[in-house]
Amino acid sequence: MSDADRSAVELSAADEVEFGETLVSLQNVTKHYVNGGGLFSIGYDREADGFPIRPQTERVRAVENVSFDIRKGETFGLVGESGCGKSTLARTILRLTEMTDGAVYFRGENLAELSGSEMRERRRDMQMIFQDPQSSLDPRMKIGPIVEEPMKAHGLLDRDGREERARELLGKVGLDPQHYNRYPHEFSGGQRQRVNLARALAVNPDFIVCDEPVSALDVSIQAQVLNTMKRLQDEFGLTYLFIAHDLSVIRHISDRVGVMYLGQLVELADREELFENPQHPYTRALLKSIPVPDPRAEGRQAVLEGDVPNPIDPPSGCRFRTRCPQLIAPAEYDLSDEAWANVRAFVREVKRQTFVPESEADVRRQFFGDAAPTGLADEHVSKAIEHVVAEEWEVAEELLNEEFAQRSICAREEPAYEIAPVHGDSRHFAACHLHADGDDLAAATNPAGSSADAD
Amino acid sequence: MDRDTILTVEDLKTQFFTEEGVVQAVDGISFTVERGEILGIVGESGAGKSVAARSILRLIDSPGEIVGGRITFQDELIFGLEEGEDGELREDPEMLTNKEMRKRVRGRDIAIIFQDPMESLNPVFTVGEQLREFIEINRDLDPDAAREEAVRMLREVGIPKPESRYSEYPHQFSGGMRQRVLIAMALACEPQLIIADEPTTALDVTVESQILDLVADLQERYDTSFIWVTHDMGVVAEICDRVNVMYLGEIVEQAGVDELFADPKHPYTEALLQSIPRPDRRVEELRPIAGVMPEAINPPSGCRFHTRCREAREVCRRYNPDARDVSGPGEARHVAACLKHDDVFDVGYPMSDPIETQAEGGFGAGLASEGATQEVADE
Repeated sequence: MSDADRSAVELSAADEVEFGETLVSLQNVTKHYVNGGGLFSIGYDREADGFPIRPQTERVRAVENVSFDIRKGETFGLVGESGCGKSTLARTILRLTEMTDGAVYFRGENLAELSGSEMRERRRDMQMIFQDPQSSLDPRMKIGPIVEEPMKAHGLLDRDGREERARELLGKVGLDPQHYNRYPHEFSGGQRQRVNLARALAVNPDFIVCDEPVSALDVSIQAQVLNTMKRLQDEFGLTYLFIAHDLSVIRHISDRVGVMYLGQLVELADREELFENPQHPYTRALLKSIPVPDPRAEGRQAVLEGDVPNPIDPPSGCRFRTRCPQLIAPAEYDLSDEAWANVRAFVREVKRQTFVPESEADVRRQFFGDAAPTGLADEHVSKAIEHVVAEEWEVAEELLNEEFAQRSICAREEPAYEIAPVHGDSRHFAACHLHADGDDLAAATNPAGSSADAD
Repeated sequence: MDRDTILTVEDLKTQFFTEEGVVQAVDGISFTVERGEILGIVGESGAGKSVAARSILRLIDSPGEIVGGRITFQDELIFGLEEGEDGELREDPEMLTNKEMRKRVRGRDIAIIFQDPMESLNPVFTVGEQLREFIEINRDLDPDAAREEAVRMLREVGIPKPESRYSEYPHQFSGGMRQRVLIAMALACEPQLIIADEPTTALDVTVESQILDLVADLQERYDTSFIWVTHDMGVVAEICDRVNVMYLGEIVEQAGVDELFADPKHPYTEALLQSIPRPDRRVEELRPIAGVMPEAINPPSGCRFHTRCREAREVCRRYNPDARDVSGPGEARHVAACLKHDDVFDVGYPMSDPIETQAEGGFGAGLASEGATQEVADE
């Protein structure tokens, strides 16, 4: 490829942003989906003032108030379990779906304010790779033309130039340029993901959003693709937003890591800091849950119970509090650590109805044998035990929820704190009230926001 | 046979007869399951591990067929062939009939848990009723007693509010909860052996962790044996006592879990362990296995792994090693199918010339469909 051709491809990639500076900035990005509203989602409301039938809609709060910056040349890892909103966030960043609130800045430009044609132009610099390498390639197209497609869409190069570049890129991603005329089904999963990489690189982007790019691949193939991605990043100066549920992969590839839970960012730090000094109870739980491929390593532990709550009606305050093993005791009760731990266990088991209550004394012995609450807290517990023995589980659950869970600071305020990192000097953000001694971002700047690393 | 061995699989062969040819999905594997142990079968997709697991219960549908080998469960013959008068192979008369398999073995003595719980739960019946019916039929209890037992089992596997969730439908349960229901169902008849086919693969890591804890806990209490099929070396390290590593229809290595991870004796196992990123520490450079697994329809000659092996030599093209005990004196039994253990195999590996495979690098990006396996390894 001649120099003239190359400059034609690289025209728009005139680097205004220095390496290490902010390339993409998310500010309070929020995405809600509205369910229903169709013909069949009508509700009957007997108590209504007027006509008793009205449309019924519910809001799925998929992503809420997420803010962070991605620096040029880095790999920003975003990790979380299924349903945490990480893929929705990725699509929102690229404006594949419109956000409900907030802003995404790319090279300092607010993407939401761009017109359709400007946005199309900008997409040249922002590409995406999806999880399933099978369904993201048109089975009726040969891989050469597949790689050329984005160049065509953006009117880059002439026909021969495109073919030459496609062949060159196939070589760069570790495929044989001779396979230009083969169909996707002739390739294995790992090779197809390489075709996706080549296609993403075709327009010479700065920024690639990778949504679970190796999750569908076998482990030995995963390593091949990860290594190729790293090599391409060095060669082309790429910036990755790398989304995955696998913490081992995230640890391997990322420079900085954000952890999401139920639509929110709960922790963000440098890779080393996050894995060696995790501060959010959810991050800690995740790290403890992974099976380590070494029988002599310190054992895995199941720390969390239950399932992720429904994003239609997320818990107030900290969204993780309903499963948190470190829920903070309500300030109005004077509880010892042991007594509070027992109260929490009791609350949890009442909610799950997992034990058979024989008598009040029996329940007391079972849960509060070593440490019992005193004063007002004890009155609530005693009342709850009475209800449980009378098989009034729901009443007991409601009472405990009102008097304990709802009174905790975790239920009343949304946490957002900045802590001093132990590893490196990048900022460490943790959305947990246990770090109330850190810089309170929620109180300081804007009441709703959590400006994670507005550097 | 060891007194404590409950299942013996000898030289099992399962093939699929397709239009393109015969797929040798499982090609002569042997292993045993001891009472109270968790035996792992680990391998990548296409290795034949699920087919192997299903063969044990004779759950192989057409065009697949078990074509050879012997499966003995305690004193009963699940599968076996004998030579007839005209030299033809025919089913051993001792072999359990399909009816006996259905009535006596499956569910009662050997239970199976699949990756996708919806495969095993009927969406139009409540979870509790399905469990109750299963218990009623298999344990000869009257309906009320079976119902009580069903609720007890749901509580046992950690389903919250078991009384009220009894009358909910499978779709109202989360993935983790459904898998708990299946575990309850598997345990309901207190079987001797549970075959778990990637039961946690579809689950999130925190839920997977809950299930692994539950299994470890239940296994201890009921002393059930498990065959745990998985692709995840982490899960293997976590729960298994002994491990079989499968590659392209064959068992290439078999050892206790500590020995396997500390001292892998087959190059495939070693390469697999080097290619996985770890959660507990940072690996600077992953060492991928070059290429992809060839198709089982047309496996490479000689050792099936030789096309991707870093230690392949000329002899590896010619001899397909069986799995033999290669442990040193005083070591625990450690089986590997690799010619580099020349003192055991004695086919002249040390004198043989190393061969050029993709593992050495080289730029030959072949196609998966050609059975050629080159995929360029990144240095």
